[in-house]
Amino acid sequence: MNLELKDAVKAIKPLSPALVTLLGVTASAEHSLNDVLKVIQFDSVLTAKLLQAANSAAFRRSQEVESVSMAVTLLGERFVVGMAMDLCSDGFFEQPLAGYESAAGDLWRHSIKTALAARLVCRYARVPVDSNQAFTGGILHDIGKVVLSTFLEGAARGMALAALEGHFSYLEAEREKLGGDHCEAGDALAVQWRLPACYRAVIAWHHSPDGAPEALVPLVYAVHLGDALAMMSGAGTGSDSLLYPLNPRHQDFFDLSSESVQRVLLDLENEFAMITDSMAST
Amino acid sequence: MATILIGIGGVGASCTPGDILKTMALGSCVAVVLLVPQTRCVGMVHVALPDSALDEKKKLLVPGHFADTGVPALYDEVCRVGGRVAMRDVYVKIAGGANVLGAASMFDIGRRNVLAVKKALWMMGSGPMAEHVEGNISRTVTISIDAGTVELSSPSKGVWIL
Repeated sequence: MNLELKDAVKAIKPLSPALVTLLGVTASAEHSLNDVLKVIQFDSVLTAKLLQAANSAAFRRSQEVESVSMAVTLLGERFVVGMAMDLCSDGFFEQPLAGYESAAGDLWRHSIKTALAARLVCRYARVPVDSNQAFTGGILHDIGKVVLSTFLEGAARGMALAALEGHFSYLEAEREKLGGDHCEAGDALAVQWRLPACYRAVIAWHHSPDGAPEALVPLVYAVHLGDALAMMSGAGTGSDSLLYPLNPRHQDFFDLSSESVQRVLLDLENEFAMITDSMAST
Repeated sequence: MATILIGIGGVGASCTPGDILKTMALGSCVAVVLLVPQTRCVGMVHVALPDSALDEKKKLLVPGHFADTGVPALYDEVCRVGGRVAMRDVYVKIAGGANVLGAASMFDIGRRNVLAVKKALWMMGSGPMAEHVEGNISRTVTISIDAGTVELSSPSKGVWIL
């Protein structure tokens, strides 16, 4: 990665300490919902938003949810982490990515859809994969695009056309243009943000999962598949949408048929509608 | 005068001058457009999956989600908004059905969607007069009621008329 990109990574603001702690907790395979609760109960804004979400029409409860522990139990870890990322990342995921011709909110929609799809494909895993890690990894996987975006302004159409006509990955177009890609930039940012190793692996290897540390390969494949499914469902990040090859080795780790892929796409839309409706009501 | 956004599984139609029908960033989904020259009515459905047998409940709640129920639902909507018309007097255009690069057959939902849409149209005695389908590009569809034009746009290809 060249010096300009390294400087751009350094210029990005750190994550809030609460969010870093929460991501650290969720990265552990042995964590419980109680561990999550211990982190968020000290964040008053997040607590208030979670109570609002739990009492929103999307969850249709006859009884009012009055405590944060009830809210966390009802909403589940994926929702809590999703909301924490949205609230504590200071607009990081909401910003437009001009270098990808992507509007404000597109990165967040793509990240949430990738997260949900990565979690859903875990139902079909041939080997154990932590679906909560797949969800959080899905939210984080494209953080490197924020670093690259500024440097790619005005180049998106030419890069997309080159990748499309040359049948090569958009990642190669990024490397050709900048001497680095969004996976490398994302990895550098993940180091700066002190993200746990499992999320670093997802960010660095989500387009080439076989390069990840062996124990994390199935997790990275979950996000690799989630990313493709998000783009298929229309939630890309602009010019690069659909222009990353799907590695057929996913079949070693996930037992997917055409029908199960369709089932995942159907459930993805249902879950996405639920999560966005409840977040919109807060 | 309004822009009517058609989301996933959405069905919409209009005869109101100045209205725009739009659906954004089709991936493997397919947009089916019906244009009725007699009534200047235009309709569009955003189909996500080929076969409603996958989920009976969703089929009833959101028929536009599936090709086999979405195409008849679109025809009904166009007739409701613009008045009864024979399917043979309706122009049909379709777009979308893309896929990610190098995907294995189980991921080829875009092609299955296109085939299912054509089958549903065929069952109604019709077929597309124009199409821009499959490949590896995301497509946005914008239809002007005034001009009756179906405009496609994609980050790699710019803007063109179907």
